[in-house]
Amino acid sequence: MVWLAIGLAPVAGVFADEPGPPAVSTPAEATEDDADFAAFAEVTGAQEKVSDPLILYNRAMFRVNDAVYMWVLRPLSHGYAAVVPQRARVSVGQFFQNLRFPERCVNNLLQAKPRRAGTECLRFGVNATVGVLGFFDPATSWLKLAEYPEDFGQTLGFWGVPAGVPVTLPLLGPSNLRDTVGLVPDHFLDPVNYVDSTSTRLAARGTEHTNRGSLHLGEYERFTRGALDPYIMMRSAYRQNRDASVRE
Amino acid sequence: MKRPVALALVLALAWTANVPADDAADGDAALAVIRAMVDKVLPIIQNDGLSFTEKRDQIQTVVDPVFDFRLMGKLVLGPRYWVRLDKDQQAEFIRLFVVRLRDSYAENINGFTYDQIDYAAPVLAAPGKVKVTMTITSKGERLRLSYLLYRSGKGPEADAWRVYDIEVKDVSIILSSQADYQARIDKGGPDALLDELRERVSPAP
Repeated sequence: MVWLAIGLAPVAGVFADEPGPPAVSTPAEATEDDADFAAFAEVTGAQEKVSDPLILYNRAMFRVNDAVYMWVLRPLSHGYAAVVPQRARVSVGQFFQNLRFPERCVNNLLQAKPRRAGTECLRFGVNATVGVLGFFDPATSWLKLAEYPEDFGQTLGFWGVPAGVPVTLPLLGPSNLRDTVGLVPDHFLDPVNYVDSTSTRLAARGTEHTNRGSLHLGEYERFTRGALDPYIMMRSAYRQNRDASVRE
Repeated sequence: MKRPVALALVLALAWTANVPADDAADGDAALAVIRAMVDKVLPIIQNDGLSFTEKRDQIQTVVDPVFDFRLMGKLVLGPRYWVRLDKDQQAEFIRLFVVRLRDSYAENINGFTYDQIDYAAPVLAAPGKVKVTMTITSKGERLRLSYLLYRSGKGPEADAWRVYDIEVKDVSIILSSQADYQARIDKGGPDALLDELRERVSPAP
């Protein structure tokens, strides 16, 4: 900051004598502020307005999801966590994660990342066998094979499809137009959706979400408590996270 | 003619040889700051004998010299919104922002569990700026946490590295709060933002 303050000092001096707007800070402070903003333009430059034409619907759906979380998922997850030991819950989470490998594998391939797709296949093979149907994750712990999560929304982003307007999905939460479209192909890559019995399918889905919630107790509450307007903060967080996932 | 070319070559070689070394030194210096901070914070959060308030206070003593809270507050508003606050409002905003961020950091870190922490090689984001990323394995999942540091040239050491942003799962706390706070100013002006922050800041003990 100091080097920029020095660099900008002469520039600020040029304007110092002009009768500007009522002084809100001394010239030295203003110079330091300007220098800071210039030096950190990457976090202050991104101030473009977000286009959110569906904001009324999005906010309403955000409130619905919030209520569902608070009144259904949260108590369910707390109860489940009280009954099922953490070690078992971690295993159940790993089981579902391993089961979803077709989504990661296919989307890595679609993004021309064959090595990562191969790693995903290998991970699945190892975890499904040595890892006892995926309840354990020896691929990570023994073989140091990292997971490469990719979904169809990321694939579309990889090939240049813009994120589109923000959309809040029922139960699933924040999304955008591109990622919402991406859910359709991913739906067909999720083995759980090929279970014939509707009740078994719903039970599996319910277990998966409750289990995940039980491993992240309090996180949503801490996030929303930290925000003045949780919808706006969630929308921003989702966008940043997805932008980074697409870049990887 | 030959001599200047040779000189230029030597200079170019010296330059290319030097730059990575400096970068590596910067990266290592920033990484050392974060490692030292994390190594001091972990025993605090794992100490079951402490109450949350005690933990929070101890965590804050560790992170205070490392985090440039004032700069973070300024960056959260950004150049266009910062100037919409008069001098008193700016000072009040920084005060409230710092209290909130310190509390929220302590609260979030207190609920933190981990099985393993792996540091990635530090990345030089720009001259004098380094991103230190760690992958935290916890409950069978991996979480990426990054600290962004800059060489402040202030403080007890001339080359003090200080944190100006934190990214959790690639989500910057500066950018997220920016969206949130700027929307408040758009809606009700600086006073609305300050009022709301004041309401949410726990009264001083």
